[in-house]
Amino acid sequence: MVGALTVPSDPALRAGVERWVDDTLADMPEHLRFGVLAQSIVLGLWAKVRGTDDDAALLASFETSPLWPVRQYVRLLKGLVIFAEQELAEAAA
Amino acid sequence: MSRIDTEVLVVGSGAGGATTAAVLAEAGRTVTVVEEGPWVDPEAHEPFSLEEMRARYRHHGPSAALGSPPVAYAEGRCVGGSTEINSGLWHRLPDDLAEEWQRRYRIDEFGPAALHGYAARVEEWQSVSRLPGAPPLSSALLERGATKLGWQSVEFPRVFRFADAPRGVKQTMARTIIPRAVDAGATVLPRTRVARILREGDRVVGASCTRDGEPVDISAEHVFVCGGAVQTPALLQRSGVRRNIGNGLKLHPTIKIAARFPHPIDHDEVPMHRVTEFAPNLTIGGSASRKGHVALAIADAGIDPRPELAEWEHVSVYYAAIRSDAGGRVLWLPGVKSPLVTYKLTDADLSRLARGLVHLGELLLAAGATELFPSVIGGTVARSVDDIGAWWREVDRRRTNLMTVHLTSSVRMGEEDTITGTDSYGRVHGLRNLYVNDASLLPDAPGVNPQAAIMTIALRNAEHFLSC
Repeated sequence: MVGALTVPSDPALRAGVERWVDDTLADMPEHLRFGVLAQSIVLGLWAKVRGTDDDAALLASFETSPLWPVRQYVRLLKGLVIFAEQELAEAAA
Repeated sequence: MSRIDTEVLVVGSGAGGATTAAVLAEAGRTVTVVEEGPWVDPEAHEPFSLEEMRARYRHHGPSAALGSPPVAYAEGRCVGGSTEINSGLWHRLPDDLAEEWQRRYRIDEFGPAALHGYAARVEEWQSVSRLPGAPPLSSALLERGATKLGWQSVEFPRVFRFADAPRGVKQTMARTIIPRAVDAGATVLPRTRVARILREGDRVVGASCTRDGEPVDISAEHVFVCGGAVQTPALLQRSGVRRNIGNGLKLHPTIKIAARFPHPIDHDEVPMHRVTEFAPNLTIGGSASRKGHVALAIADAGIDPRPELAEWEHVSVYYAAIRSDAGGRVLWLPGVKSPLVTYKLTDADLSRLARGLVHLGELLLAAGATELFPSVIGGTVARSVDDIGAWWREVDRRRTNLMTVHLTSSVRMGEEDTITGTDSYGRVHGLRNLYVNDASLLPDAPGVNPQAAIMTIALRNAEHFLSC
């Protein structure tokens, strides 16, 4: 999911974002971490069932889901990615 | 297993814990402070940076009170607690709130006159002062917008010392009160987590801890729990203390706008002006606005922020915070390290947040903003006052993104023991030598930054303890 949410193509920046998000998820309260984990699994299964690798489209559909936990967990993860992406890019610059 | 004997054990080193430790150590008591987080050099990291979040924040920053909508929050987890990561704004507890709390919760000796005496002493310790000279533009814009609309705004004092640096040095607990406690003989143990408080009948006898993963038992004659409004009730609950513990949580739900101006804005400081026209039920102010915060705030409107960041220096983040009717809970669950935190906003709260967003939008446009991104998914990006009207219906449970940095009231103090967890001075009901002395004690959300109230009450309670 982190890969699908990260936009920059620079491998070092992508790796930095993934590392930051992984560390943050590992330290996150269990009830939030398990929600994100469950969503990642669902995303993987859904992609397999639908035979698509368009993770971005699937994530967009999660973000507007009528179920609030689904919406919130993907917004949480997206927020982490965007913050890390911008801060790491700024630091590198 | 190692063992430590002490007279007073203080759990937590933030505004409440540091104050308690310094007052008791300076009175000659043998004090040990345990802090779950590390001892971080105050100069080590840029404020609000990723490095600071990794080093000083619990969970690297993000956590959330579950609800519809959920409310994101952040806590410090280092020596000094949340005073190391907050904006340092200082506001005494308003007199009318002190009087209301005294009456409703039957708090002894809680009159405004007594509290002002304690507050004045803390302010001297903390070098509470206003910025010398002109405020930064990000702050002046709040004043400019308020003046144009005929609203009241105030430059808040902060815990900043200006003698050594023109922009000031924030007087966090790690820079001020913790060194005082250590100079008076207190021992501070960072990276030490308390698993549970140990009880024998109606007394506590110490705490079972781990330090760097190794078990440590601490024997103590008195224990003060000062871990903040989330960690304090969680520790009490897992130690078997549950009556009126964790079920009165209050916070200031906060809604944001990323505002674009036709000119660059400073991003080094949190604005020190607040619009107090609608206080204490609604306060308008400015937030940390590094590039990551600006991106996050634009994303909260459901917009990909990347194309909007070409001139990100022109964008700053502002907020409207409310005092809410709602309440929340902190619940420790067996086998889980982090407590479950919930907060149930009322419909009236959502209406207040919509009003806050509209007023904030009006203010920013009056201050010269050209484009406003509200923290509402799919919310109208406003370029004129006419656009703002849509926000009244767009602020709803499904789309609104909220956050807070002020959490209080999860234990509550007072003699009204059907709704409070401690007596008027923080002693836990039913236990002779277990005390709480932090944000948890405030009976309700103060509507302003709570650090002044926390330190004032902590000083009052610590001196009462010494007098007994």
